[in-house]
Amino acid sequence: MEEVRIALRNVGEIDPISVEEFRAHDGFEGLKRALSMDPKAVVDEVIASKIRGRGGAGFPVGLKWNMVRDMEADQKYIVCNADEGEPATNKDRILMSGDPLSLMESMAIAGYAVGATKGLIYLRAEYPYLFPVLREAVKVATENGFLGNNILDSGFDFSITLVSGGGAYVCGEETALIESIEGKRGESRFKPPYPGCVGLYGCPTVINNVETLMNIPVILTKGAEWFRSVGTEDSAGTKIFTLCGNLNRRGIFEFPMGVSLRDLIFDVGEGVCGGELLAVQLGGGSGPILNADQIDVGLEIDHLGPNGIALGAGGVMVINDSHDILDIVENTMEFFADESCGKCTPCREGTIQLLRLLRKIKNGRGHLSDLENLEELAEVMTMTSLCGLGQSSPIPLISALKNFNDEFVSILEGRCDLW
Amino acid sequence: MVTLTIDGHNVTVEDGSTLLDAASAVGIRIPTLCFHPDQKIKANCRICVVEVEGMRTLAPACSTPVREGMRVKTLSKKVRMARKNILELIFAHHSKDCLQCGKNGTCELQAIAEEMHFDYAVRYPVVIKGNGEKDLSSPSITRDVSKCIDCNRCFSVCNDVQTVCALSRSKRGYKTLVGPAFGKELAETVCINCGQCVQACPVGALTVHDDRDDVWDMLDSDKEVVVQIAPAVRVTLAEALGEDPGVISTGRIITALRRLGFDKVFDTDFSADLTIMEEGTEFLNRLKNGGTLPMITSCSPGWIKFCETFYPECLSHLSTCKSPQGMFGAIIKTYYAESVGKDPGDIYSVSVMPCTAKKFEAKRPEMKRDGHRDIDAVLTVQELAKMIRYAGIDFGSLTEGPFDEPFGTGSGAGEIFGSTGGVMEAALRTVYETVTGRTLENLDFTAVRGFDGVKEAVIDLDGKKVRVAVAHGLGNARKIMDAVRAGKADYDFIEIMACPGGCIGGGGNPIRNWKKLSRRMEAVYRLDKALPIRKSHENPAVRRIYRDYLIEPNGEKSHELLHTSYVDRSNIVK
Amino acid sequence: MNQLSKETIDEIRQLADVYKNANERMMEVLLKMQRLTNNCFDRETLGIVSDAMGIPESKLYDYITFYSRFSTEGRGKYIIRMCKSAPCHVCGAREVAQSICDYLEVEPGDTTDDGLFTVEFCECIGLCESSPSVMINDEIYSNLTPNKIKGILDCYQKGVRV
Repeated sequence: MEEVRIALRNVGEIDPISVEEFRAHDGFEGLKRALSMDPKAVVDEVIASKIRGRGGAGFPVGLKWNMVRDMEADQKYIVCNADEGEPATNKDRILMSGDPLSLMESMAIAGYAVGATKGLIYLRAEYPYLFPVLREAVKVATENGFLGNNILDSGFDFSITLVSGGGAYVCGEETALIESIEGKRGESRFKPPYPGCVGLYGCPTVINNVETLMNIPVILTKGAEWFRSVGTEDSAGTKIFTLCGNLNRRGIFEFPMGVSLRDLIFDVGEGVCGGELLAVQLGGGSGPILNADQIDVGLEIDHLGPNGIALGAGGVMVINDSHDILDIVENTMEFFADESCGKCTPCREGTIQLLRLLRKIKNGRGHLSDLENLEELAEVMTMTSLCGLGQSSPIPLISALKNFNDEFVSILEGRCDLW
Repeated sequence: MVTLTIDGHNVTVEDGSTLLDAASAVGIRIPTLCFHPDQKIKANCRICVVEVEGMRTLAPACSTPVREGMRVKTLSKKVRMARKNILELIFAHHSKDCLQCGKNGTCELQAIAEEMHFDYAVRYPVVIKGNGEKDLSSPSITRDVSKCIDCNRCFSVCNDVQTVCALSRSKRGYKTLVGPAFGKELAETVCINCGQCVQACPVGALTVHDDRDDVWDMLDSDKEVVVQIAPAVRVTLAEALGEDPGVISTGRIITALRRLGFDKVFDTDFSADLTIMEEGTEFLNRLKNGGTLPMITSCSPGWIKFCETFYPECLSHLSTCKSPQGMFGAIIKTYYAESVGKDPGDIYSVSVMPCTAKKFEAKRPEMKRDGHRDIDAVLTVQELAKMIRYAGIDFGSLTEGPFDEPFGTGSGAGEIFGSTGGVMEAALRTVYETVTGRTLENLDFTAVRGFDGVKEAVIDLDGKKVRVAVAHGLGNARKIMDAVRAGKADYDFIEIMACPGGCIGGGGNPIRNWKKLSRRMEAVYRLDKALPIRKSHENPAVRRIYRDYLIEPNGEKSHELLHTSYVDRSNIVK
Repeated sequence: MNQLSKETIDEIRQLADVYKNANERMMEVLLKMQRLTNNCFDRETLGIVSDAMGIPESKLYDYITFYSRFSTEGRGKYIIRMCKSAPCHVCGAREVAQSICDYLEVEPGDTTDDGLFTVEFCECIGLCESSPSVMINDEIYSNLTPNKIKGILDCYQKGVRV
């Protein structure tokens, strides 16, 4: 299957920090085009492209920008969310190491469009080796007049600061990320107010994921209409998928939205290694766990098929049948218990209780009623948690309960037989 | 204005109101735990969730702003299910030994559980927080993490309001624990014993250190047990026994104390007046002799430890006067003991205070002579209220009793010590008349009254302009002290009280919020207004003790008994 | 407990000057400081840091215990972070972790007697397409097998570049 590389356009093609090579590949053309336009027109172009956030939530990017653009403020910020903590996704690492200048360009475009002069990249602590790359990219972009004061004689100023994460998954949540930049524990804020109104240091703030931003220069150079022509009606453009787990071929691949999950596994990924297909976790650590009969779906942001499959951050983790599904779910729920920030009751207590109940079942001490308890607790966490972490953390467990119901029931019934 | 519907009732509230405000406006009380009316919104406990039509998830009422046309349900099946589950999650780590809990009967969690008929078993493995040990290291505050529900109210008041930062949080997720850094005991930390965390805690995780048993034992001994009651106590004790905030119950408290078996009941207003004589004289001496200015009051032991810890280079600004409790303690074990012909060791001296830090103050090495403590036990209002209930005394029906002499008379100036600005106002009444030799026409220095965080005034003493400032709550004190330290504080005399509102907001009072605090403050000034003597220097009991014993303010005897020294505590890790 | 030299304390103070109340630099500065202090902020060390930065100890403690890159207990020169998230887990991370622990004769969370290595489990380090993976300080090692990791550790022990 042929990839369609928009976000990944320069990765592997150029020397990541060579301005010359970057420019030979249309680098900074998007920024030039933007600077020749009215800022409002830039926002409108992004709105018209219908591009939605690639971090998992899928919020329309143009609307986010428009909200910040409409705010009156002395200072506004562009924050790049490079806290790629979602297990089974590492596209942003590849993007930043292979094409950091595009990221700089995108942030400058965003700054120009909404009226922000300061940008920050919040890079996760687990990518320490990317700091020198990004630092160098900021340096060469500034030296060549694409960042800093009076960019390309336009009168527009924009600077970029690198900020380090400290090892906390929750900081990928935009308000927790802001708290972390402000030198605090990465605890999510309640919303409203949204960061677009009250964000970093109380100022209107655009927060976009790395992959999202990487699409922006192309939207400016090739136009919104062209961008919309790729992908599906509901989800324009492409998506980068991280193929990982028990696959013969793993890696980062970019395809138009709507690509079939089966094709990703058996064509791009060249099939399952070490056994037959047992399950796929889609989207990332907080994504649903599907069984082998559920992979004939096209992947897009809002796909509301029979199994409520969401594309999330584009992780495709394949699990072969040498594994016990309860072991996989336990591993996933451990992750959330470890990574909950601990601020709100349902997530702080719910993540550990889901794990304890699951272990009770796995160890053969569960009752059928525990399944109902799990479902009720999951529903409460989804309805009442303060942020996306708590709201989505039950998804892997609940989807596994549904899609691998026999496995759960047989363990519980096995136990009942003892009595 | 915004109009919305809550449980079918139309309600119109101001723009910017929350769903909690709106519900309250139609008489619906939504349960809350992390919400505290004096603190910023946290929205972390999620017990206040409600259903808003069109929203994917439930909304916390405390943080959700009202919108025009919103339709809200506070009792839907979803809401009830969610609240029940959240309560269950809390009880899966919260020690449920309510009978052994200091907050039994006054716990917000217990009340919610009762209201919600929480009468079923928790469906999850119950793992209680902590190692089962209480932190009893502090003489003022007892900490029990097995009760903590992570609402962060204590953390907020300690860090944001008091800026003491004794409380931290450790780790994250289910391992989160609120408490001092590195698991230290409270007594090892910068904690200044103000007890505002006790006031903030909805459960029994932070409670007043309980000294009731010692006092009960002494009441049944051969010792003469004397008790003094602080100014603020008379406007908060009735509230602790279920009456309205601001009910004045001085006479009933005296009767109750007698019934409990105290031999003598004295009035701390007397030693408050004594404090004014000493402090006023000290101030005038400093003014005249070029002493360290601004001079800062020293009545509030929480403030004293704060200054010793965070501003040790400013200790010379502190008045050397002991607090009214400290002065009284020294007088009882010397002058009083001599006058009744008793060995100080045969007198057990108790004080009833609105303050948890007074327990710490009483244990300071400076508050001791010849092997005898000046004050043997400090009871907070909360503890005395519990003793009155224990004794089965029907407080409401008590007749009013008089204080015992020779320390039964206080002035209105002594009464207002209970409120922020009160010590300053009391001092100004005396200082004015001492300096000018004229009778003060209007005794009410309203500029130093009220709840503003920092209050300022300039007083004209026959041409000499005295610049005064008043701060309450240590976050406000810090603002002033940073200026003092930098040599930029343009004041001569400063009053600082550790607790917001002054002693009426002290950590040992019944649990309060600003609304209650203003009622208490009104009562304090009502008491002052009603008294025939409103100036410390006109108190006949004060005049008598100077004539018979102390000779003169700031004299040799005064320095021995009524003044003290301070300790540099900058070595405590901040 | 850390016994910090005067030089180290001076370096901490210099880093604190870099911070200068620029909140967004807090993490960077603390991570750099931790490298100077045996990869840990124990009570004594945090007291010094608190003093140098003008931030209350409790606030720093609040902060560092939240983020997994920090520790309040002494750690070795090299921190081996073994990813245990699902993409590594399904590709044999458990066996690799076991191999590390057996080879170094420690349990996860422990430091070797010679103070060279601390072995920790961690969550996803973003090397999912080449799992199982570990990080040793800032270096990454992917597509590991129980045997391969032993060879890598051997190089570290001998001080040879991998």
